[in-house]
Amino acid sequence: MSKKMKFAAGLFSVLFLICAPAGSACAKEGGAGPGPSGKVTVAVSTLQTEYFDPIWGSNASGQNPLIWSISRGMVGAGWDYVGQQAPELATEWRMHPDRWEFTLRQGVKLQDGTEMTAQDVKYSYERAWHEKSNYVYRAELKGLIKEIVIVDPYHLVIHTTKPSPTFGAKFGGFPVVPKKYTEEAGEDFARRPLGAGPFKLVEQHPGEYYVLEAFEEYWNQESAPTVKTVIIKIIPEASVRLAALKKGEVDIAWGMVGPLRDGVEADRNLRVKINRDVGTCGAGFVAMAKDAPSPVKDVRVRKALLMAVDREGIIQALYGGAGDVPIHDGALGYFGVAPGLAPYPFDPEKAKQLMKEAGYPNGFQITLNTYENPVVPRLPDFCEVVASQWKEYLNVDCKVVVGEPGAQIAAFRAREMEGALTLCLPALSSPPDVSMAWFVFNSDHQKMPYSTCSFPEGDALYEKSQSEMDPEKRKQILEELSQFMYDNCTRLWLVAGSMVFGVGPRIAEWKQWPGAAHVGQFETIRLKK
Amino acid sequence: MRNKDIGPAAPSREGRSGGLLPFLRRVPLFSGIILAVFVIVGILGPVMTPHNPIKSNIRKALVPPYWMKGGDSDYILGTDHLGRDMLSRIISGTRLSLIIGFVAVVLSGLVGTVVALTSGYYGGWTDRILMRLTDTVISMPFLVVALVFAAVLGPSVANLILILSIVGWAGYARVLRSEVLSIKEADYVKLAKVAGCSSATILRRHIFPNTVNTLIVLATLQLGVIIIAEASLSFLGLGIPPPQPAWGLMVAQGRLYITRAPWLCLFPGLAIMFIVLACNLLGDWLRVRLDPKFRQI
Repeated sequence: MSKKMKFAAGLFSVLFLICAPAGSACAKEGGAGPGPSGKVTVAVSTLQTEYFDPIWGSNASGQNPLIWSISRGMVGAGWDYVGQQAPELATEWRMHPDRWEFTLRQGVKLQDGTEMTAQDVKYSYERAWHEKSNYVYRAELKGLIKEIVIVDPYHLVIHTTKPSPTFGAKFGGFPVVPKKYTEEAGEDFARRPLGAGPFKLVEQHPGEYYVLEAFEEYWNQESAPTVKTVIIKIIPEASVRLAALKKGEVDIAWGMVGPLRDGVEADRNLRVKINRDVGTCGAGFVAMAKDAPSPVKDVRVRKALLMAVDREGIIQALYGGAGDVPIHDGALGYFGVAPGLAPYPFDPEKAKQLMKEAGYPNGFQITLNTYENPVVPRLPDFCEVVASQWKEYLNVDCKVVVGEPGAQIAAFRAREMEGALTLCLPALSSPPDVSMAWFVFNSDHQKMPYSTCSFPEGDALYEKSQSEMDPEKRKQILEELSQFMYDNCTRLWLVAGSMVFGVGPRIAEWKQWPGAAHVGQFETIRLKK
Repeated sequence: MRNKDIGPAAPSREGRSGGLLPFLRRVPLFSGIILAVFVIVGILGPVMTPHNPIKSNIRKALVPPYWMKGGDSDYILGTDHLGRDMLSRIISGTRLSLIIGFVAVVLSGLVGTVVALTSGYYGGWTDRILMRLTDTVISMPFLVVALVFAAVLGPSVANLILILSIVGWAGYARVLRSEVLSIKEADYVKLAKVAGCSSATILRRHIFPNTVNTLIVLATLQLGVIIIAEASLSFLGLGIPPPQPAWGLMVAQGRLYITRAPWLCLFPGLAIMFIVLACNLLGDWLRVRLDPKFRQI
């Protein structure tokens, strides 16, 4: 080797030794080199269910950042509007009155290294309706699915016992698990879950934090994670989450509402990300489910109570505008909301007139029960203002009782509660359309414990919507149901909440499903270079 | 011949007359004035409040006190996060706190006194059982017990008074029992027994009156403790239910705004501080004043 070449080689070696650590550091920040890299820490107040096994909990889309990072179903969520369905592990599907046909995506690697086939999908559903399953819709699923037939490794047909136009939205996204691995793991699966999602769970400290790592063989390489590690930290106190965000201990903080949002915006290094229409909150009256007479059984009284509340003003004051006045139960963007409907206006004079017509010109007494809700925060404050405005405009004496959610919901379901209870419906419920809003809070109270209503006409429309397979006709039925719900003012619809996240300076980009109230979709996070 | 050095010394005039300092030592001026102000505010509260304390004006949320930039003379101490007048809420909270405090002190004092008189006078198994019960109540962590009761009974003013009374009586019982034990050995009590007085009469006419001084001191000190306890329970959401104004609840609701609107926590916090300080100072003054040993000083 000539002297010049030796010199060049030596110089190159020195430069390499100097630059390699710097290059490695850049790679750690995510994006400098191939493959995911870097770390992101996310702070949440709670994980609604800390079980990773899909057969525990409700598995409503977007409600559990862990399950939906590790697992995916045949049908996924779209990015354009609330409730949009998009191909995930299935590339297409067809619905028929007696069956649903799915074409599975080929080449999907499951996290145990095997390739997904129809066997895994069939197994996942059978596991969900098994008697040992704790899946909240187990009974409904078992009653609906007659048989799952595997046509070939990438085609399966789910025969239903009755027409089910909502199967795809409600159950199509049920997380698929690897059959062989899950059978071998048995009950240990909950501690070592695997799926087909963009992340694997590598560490868990229940109640403290969880560590996810990018699954490098994730099928969707266009949307593959660029961040290698996601740490989800549980910090119950909101002000502590904000402090952690400001100090840089976390990169994303959930639930920065009201004054906390001001705290984020006051820091030039941080920014706010708002996901609108994540859930609606309304109050249902227990008296409506009982035989004894009550003022709230009169639709005029219910309308008056609604119209005597300046919901827009309260949302502005409490949430800084991060919220909307709901039309009725269910997200504003739900499929089937009747066109032309607008929220009941704030009109105290009209409200007084309605009360007079109903025979309550001097008001009455009522109790409004509420609790801190993670989807729609600050409900106790909201209810206090509602009580104040009812007193001012309608002379209704309202006592606000803030309690523990478990106890209150149990008392509500048992009809042992006085007055009304605020309950929230997350936007990404299953299925995300008007029928779900009716079913949960407005259907026959003798069958649905969260409802206190009894509207046979509405229930008939609901039943019709559950069997109508033509999308256009179904839409018409849902719009009729929406109008019915609205006209009968079945509940007091207080707020359509928005979720506010604080985002730190390292995050360049992060997308979420419309209507997602919780953190998730970590595969869309891009770090700044 | 008169010897100026012989004969009894003239009584010291110090502390008896003249001078501001001696006067201040004799009367509980600071605590008296503070408590008097609170009591007057508590009594006249409904007519003193410039605004309805529970009425929200959401469009006037977080108005600063009038002397700060952005303040409004209509809201001297500013408004809270729901647009409610802070001054009105503090005045209204005074009434509630004093009512709860006084009633809880009276109830717990009553129960504690009865237990102490019974236990101390009768002795034996009665004393043992009652004192074990007292020790059990004293050893239970107050906040945990109060939380359990509040969760079971639900939040209301009546339940709050009941909870505070339940956890408060044991302190009286313990202290007063020791008084009863020593009074029981006094000659006049023995003579009363010899004279054929019934136990009830002895307790009522001889023993109880001699415990009143201690009882008054305890009650005064306990008032401050009860007010703090009520504020703590309200802070935790288990005290006075909204929308009624409670100082503890106001502090709890204001802590989210501590950097943006510190007056939400500051003014109710100061109210709690002053009333408890006044109670403690008054109790201390009474302890000195009513104790015979200290009267000779």
